Amino acid sequence: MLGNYFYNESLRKTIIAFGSLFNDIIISRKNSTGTDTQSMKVPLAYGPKQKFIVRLESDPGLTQKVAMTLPRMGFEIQSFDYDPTRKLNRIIRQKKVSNTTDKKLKQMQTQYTPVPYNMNFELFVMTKNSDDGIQIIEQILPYFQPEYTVSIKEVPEMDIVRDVPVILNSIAYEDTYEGDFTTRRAIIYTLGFTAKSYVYGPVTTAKPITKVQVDTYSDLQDQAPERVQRFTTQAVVDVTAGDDNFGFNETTSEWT
Amino acid sequence: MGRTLAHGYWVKFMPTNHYFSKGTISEQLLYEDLAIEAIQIYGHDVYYLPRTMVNKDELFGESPLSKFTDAYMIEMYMDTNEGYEGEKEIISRFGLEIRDETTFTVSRRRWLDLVSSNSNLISALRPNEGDWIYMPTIGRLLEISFVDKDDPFFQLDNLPVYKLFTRTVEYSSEDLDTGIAAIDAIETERSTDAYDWQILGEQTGRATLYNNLFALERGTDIYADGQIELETATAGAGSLLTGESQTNAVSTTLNGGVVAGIQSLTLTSTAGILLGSGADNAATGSLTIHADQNNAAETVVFTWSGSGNDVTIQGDDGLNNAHHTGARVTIEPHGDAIFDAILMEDSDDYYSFFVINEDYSLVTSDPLSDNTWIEEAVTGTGEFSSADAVLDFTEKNPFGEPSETI
Repeated sequence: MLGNYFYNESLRKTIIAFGSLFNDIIISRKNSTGTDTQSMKVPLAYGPKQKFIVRLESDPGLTQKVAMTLPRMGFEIQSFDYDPTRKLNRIIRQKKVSNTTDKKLKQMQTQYTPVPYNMNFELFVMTKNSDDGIQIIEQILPYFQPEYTVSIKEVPEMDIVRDVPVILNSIAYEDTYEGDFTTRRAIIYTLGFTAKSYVYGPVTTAKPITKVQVDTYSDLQDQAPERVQRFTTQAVVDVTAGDDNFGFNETTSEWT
Repeated sequence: MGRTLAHGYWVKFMPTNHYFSKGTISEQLLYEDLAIEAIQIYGHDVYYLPRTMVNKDELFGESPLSKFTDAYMIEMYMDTNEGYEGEKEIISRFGLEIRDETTFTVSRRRWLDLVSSNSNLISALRPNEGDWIYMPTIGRLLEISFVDKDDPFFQLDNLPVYKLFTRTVEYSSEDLDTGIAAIDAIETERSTDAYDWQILGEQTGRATLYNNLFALERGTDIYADGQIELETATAGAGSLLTGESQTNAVSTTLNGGVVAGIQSLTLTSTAGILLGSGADNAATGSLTIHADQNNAAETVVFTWSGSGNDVTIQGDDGLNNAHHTGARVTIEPHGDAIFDAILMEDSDDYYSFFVINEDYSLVTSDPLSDNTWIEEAVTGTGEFSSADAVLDFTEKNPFGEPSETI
């Protein structure tokens, strides 16, 4: 019933856009004179990946000498929730004329109203030092009040660019510093976000109607009805320009 | 033999049966000697790396700038002789983690003889938690999480060994300058510190030679005859050399293709490009490039006369005819030369070429990081240069129509 293939990458783009918010975070370490002696961009990666790829990319020669490199961040999708508060009329259609350079190939692309979905993300921050952690968190929090909005080119085919607010919902902090000495201490921040995104349906294409013809009959008899008038309206000038700023030729033919 | 009891009386004999000694000094020493000998037979040579704390943070009780500048070889017995303990290799939300744990036994006397020093240990009397151990046999860098002083427990009324509980280091760009190549290479491979990748010529403290992995940007080749190849000029830009701020355009004869020998460059301004001061006003700096760590040095020399706007750039003779991506670069400023900027080629292409690029790539030290990939995806550059950018950075009326062509 539904099997009309389409893939607008709506969800994938939202994930990438979300990741891009945090891919330039830098922490600095100062010496006793206050001079920056270390400056490092915090590695960020989407968490869920194929295990074999993670293994092969991280330690291709089986020579990794350390447990991991810190600080680092990871993020992943947690859930998708339909957002009824952003629901729009479902029969509204976005339209766009495509192939405007070739009149013969010109088509009208239409797409129904997207469906609003809240995409819930979690961003994980792990550091070895407490100061590294709060440096990262402090560079994130001021941008979210509680949302930060990005403009995503959701369906380039339809020139749809939508502002998607990313809302910071929660910040959890875990520091397992207690316990015996052989237990590993881990400093992990978990930030919960909601991206108010949309999921788009298929784009359908049809040539635009440039000519309308109406025949008028005086009597609709069963056999050979007699036509008395034909009214024709046809777009003129350059409909390939892609807008509706064109004129019409109206022709009326009458038979008596 | 005697002792003072709590009520002050001196008693001559011990309460325990003195015919059965728990250990005389000679027996204790014999026991310790046997332990040392056993460790030397069945143990392994490991490097003990004492931690040097730098600018300790009193609030958080940590020292993010910790460094390890010494490595002492000492024999230790690996208690978990059938392999590691711990969770070993796991995949977490942060990628691959190797949570290996093991326990070492080390002789107290040997540790005091070979390692203990007031000058390099936070507590010189014993192995320190937080110090690192590198075991060449297994190729792991381990951090001491706990030092157990009394296992085995006073078997001859003495404690001849320490047990060191260790786990693989969670590396956080600590400086590793031990002089042991295998250990120092860990910093080279895994440090995310951008300053590790910066040419020291840019820094005021230029006395230190630097030796680190450094990438020559794509398109920059140095040939055996000392020629330096720049990329072909692109429309509107040319193959000019500019400073990193891209404000100091260089008018140069290096107009694409392969250029030979010493090349004279005319700078529109020397500000931000190359500075010289003091008695040795002739500022010369060199970059020594190795195709890999075993290859002979190849030098590119930048020279500024100290006045005017002319500098020269020259490749070394005897260079390998190779494309040195991922080459190792050693910066060796001479005199008072300070490179205040990295020379790069100006280009209109979707990525710029650099003769030397100070921007380090995070992927080099962290192959699993997605930073670069995400950046290119959202901006439609690099790998995604032929695709639509995910993000729209133009300013449009957010309340208008989604398309101007409806």
